[in-house]
Amino acid sequence: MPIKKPGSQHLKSVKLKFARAKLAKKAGRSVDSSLNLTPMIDMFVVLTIFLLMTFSTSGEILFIQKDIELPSATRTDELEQAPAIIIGGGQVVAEGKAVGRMDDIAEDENFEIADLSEILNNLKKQYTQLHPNQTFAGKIIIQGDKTVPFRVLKKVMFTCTSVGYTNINFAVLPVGGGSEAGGEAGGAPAPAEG
Amino acid sequence: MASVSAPGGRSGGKKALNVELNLVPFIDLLTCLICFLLMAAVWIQIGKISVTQSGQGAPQDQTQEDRERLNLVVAITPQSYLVTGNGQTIADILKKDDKYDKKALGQKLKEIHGQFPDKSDIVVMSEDSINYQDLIDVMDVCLATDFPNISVSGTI
Repeated sequence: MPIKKPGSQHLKSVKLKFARAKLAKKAGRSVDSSLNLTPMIDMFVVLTIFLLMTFSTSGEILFIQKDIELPSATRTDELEQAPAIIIGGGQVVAEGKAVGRMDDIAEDENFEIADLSEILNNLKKQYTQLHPNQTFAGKIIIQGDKTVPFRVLKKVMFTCTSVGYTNINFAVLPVGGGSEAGGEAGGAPAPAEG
Repeated sequence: MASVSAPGGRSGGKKALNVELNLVPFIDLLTCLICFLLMAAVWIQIGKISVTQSGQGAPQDQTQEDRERLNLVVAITPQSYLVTGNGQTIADILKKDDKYDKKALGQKLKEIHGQFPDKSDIVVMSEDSINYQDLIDVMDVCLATDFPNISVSGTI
């Protein structure tokens, strides 16, 4: 087979200047392009419906601290706004102020926690001054860690009741649906309600 | 994008019927709504169990009816649930595999509720060493067996 001389190569023949001019001409065309927004709007609508369904008018009543694990229960009511006492992390805290260490409270022979009593008394006074026409409901929330011994809990409860906070609410994590007694009462906890 | 076009038919010479909807305000509205809802969302639902402390208020004179009423108490001891009525032991439900037998307690309370359908109050007693979760478990069983008026007492 005879050897042929290669012909002119296409790329070699294209001048750089020409190529630049061509590309510039292409870039100079209209850059308008319509985005397909339908999937995005679909997603937005679904997200909005989900968030509206889970929307709670009462807002966040309790701030859960990371070192406190609330006990779980199946039969619970909706939590209402009230002063909160936090028992956990080795101390008892009322309205953001520490009123004593759990060990000290547990060992103390006195049932009433003096600092807690003072804070609750002040809160009660404030309430009666701000709402002179309303009767004092005496609602209080106890937000305790699930491992807190009853020894500490009873002293906190006693102090609350002695001040006048007789309507004690234990904050719990609702699990599963309301189960029948003797049925699933001892069953494993289901995922929390959304 | 969102547009409405006339189906087939005469196409030549007539004005195009394609209409482009302006979706920008709609997207703006949705974005604002989503931002607001995300900020206001409560991710952890917390419930409550209402109780009173037993023995509150001045002691009242007991009537014959009061004396005939069942004073139902569930005591939590480190070994068992002790169900008593007017001081008499009704049941002593021992722990199973080092766990409290909530199922048996539920059945017992249900049985008692069957005998006294009007009864709605119950006292939960606990020893000092009992954990908060165990106390809540008993209250949960009481609520599930239609004893909504729960009182808590510390003395056994």
